[in-house]
Amino acid sequence: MISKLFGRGKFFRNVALQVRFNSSEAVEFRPLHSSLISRAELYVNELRELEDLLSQGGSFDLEKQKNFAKLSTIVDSYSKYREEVNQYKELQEILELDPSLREEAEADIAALLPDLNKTGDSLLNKLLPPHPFADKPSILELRPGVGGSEAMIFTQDLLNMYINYANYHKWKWNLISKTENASGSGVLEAILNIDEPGSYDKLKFEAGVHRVQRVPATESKGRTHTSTAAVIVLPKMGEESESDAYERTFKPDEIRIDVMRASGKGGQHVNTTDSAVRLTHYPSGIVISMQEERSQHRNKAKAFAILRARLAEKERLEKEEKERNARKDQVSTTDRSDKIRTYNYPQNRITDHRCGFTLYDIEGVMKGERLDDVIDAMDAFSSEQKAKQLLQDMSA
Amino acid sequence: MPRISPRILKSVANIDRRLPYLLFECSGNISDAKQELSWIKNELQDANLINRACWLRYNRVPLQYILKTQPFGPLDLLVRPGVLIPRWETEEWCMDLIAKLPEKARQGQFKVLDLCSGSGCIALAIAHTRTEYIVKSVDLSPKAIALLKDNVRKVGLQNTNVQCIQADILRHSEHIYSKDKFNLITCNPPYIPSNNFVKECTTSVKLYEPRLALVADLEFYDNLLQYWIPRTESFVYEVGDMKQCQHVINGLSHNTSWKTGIKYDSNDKPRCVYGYLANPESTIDYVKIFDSFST
Repeated sequence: MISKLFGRGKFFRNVALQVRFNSSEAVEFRPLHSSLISRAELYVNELRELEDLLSQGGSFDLEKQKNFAKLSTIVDSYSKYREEVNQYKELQEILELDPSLREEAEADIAALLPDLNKTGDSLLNKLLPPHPFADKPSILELRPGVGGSEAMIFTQDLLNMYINYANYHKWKWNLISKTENASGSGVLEAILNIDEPGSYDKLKFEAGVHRVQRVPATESKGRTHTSTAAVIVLPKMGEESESDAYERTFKPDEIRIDVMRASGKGGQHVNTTDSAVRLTHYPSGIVISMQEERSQHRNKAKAFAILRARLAEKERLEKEEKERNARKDQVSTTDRSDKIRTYNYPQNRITDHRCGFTLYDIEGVMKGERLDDVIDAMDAFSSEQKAKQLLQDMSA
Repeated sequence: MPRISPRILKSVANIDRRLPYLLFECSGNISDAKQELSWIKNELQDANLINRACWLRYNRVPLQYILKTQPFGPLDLLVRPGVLIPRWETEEWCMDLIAKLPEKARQGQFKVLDLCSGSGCIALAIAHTRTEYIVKSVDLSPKAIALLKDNVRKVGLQNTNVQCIQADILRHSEHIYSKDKFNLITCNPPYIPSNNFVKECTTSVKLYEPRLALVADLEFYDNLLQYWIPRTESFVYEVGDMKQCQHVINGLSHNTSWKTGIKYDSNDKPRCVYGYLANPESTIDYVKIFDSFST
């Protein structure tokens, strides 16, 4: 738990980077909103109570442990922030009172400010509500969009990119299913399972339509084509045995499982290798076919894992939609936008359309080594949006 | 063998020249053949072995014998010529049954006997998921017993309460584990009547799987009624058709303490006949187990 929280710190640094990049020359002190400060004070009090309970030898279960770890990181970063703000104020005073030390004080302030803003951003991020599936492993579904066989080839390229990305981070992955097109050059559908807790948090912004602009291998006249591929990112929910708030068990009348319907008597009379399973979930209309495994039982288990993931994701989207409607204002969103990213091969350029981030290194990204740059930019953009939202909600 | 037009054979040969060999056992379904090829490629690395496997498939050798393994529930079992390959129907009811079996039996409190074990799929799946159960198994065939012992090692259950013996249950039922009474008896007996064997079985089964594990009619169900009912509190027997179900149910109809039922498989065929004591000596709630098993 604690390491996970520290892991989050990595992208907060990038948040700071991004912010500094935006306001490049004149670094100014941006104090946090007073309501945020009071919220942080609340956490300090809560932590103190928890500590009191601890010192009195109260019971310390897993839930409390998680809460404790969460609170202490917030409070740590808050006290660091407070310390730096005090330092800043002292320096300001010196600046006003003692003209002889002016130069030194200015130099100190210039050195302190980036740190201070960084601490402020990091504190802000910790105060934001975490994503409900932030610590889940992920399942990626890839399908070609418009563009015929070039789109299928691009889907294969994207699949390779995510596999490379997982390899680069030394994450365990496996292909749940993959259907190749007739010529074997591209994929019609692929489902990639990345078994790293927290990988959903990293990859959640990959969901959407990816656009490619290049001269396809199939093109004989050298024209540039534009094709697309769709990526769906799902949180991988735990196995049936684990119990969690999002776990669900299905009623028999909600689910229909179809297997190969053979004529004849079945059983010992035939020995089929056909283990395909089709799972239908009536309330949501989701249909999942699975035939990758030699055992029907395992195909079924895989299909159920995907169904659970899709339902959890669907539920989350619906919830977000509801919250958005409740606010009744148009917030720029980081999900569900149709075209999220362009891969322009002739220009060696990758542009993320949501945050406007551009990187000139297609090869590095497709190798999975520099995909993090794009993801971090998107992450920074998203937390900035969220922070704005939080401030708006609090001032409203 | 279905006729497959040369045009189709040629077109799949363009994808992979080994595919046409697989197409016949897949009754002309191209995507099934591709799937089979990818399994073969996954399990066998060497190109010569893959080619040989495809040639064997063309000669209708079961894929499981070629790859030497078959997944069964959570287990990967060895399979060998001379022993029946576990079917998906068996896997289905067996996993359904296991899910219903009580999880917290005290050490050695729940005794299972698996008759006609073959590869040991049912016995080992139970022993694997319910580690505190005592599981015993019987098979007539020495080949099956040898394979079963290998499978016990393969799935890492050699130090647990799994026993197997070779015996003919049609002749010596009363001498098998004669001191034990069981909570559950499972069995996947041969159930294809000999006069239907040629007509109803697919060529691959007839050519390569052991007749010993396939051909019988009501012998094993009679054996259940005569010898095993007094020694168990519940049973699950796989069946081939409705007649065999009725035979068992009729045989127990005069006995009011036994409740019986039929379980259908996903293909809507009657697949199991089961029975249990409504008021057993032990404290196990069989009504709860089998109520949800039948649906």
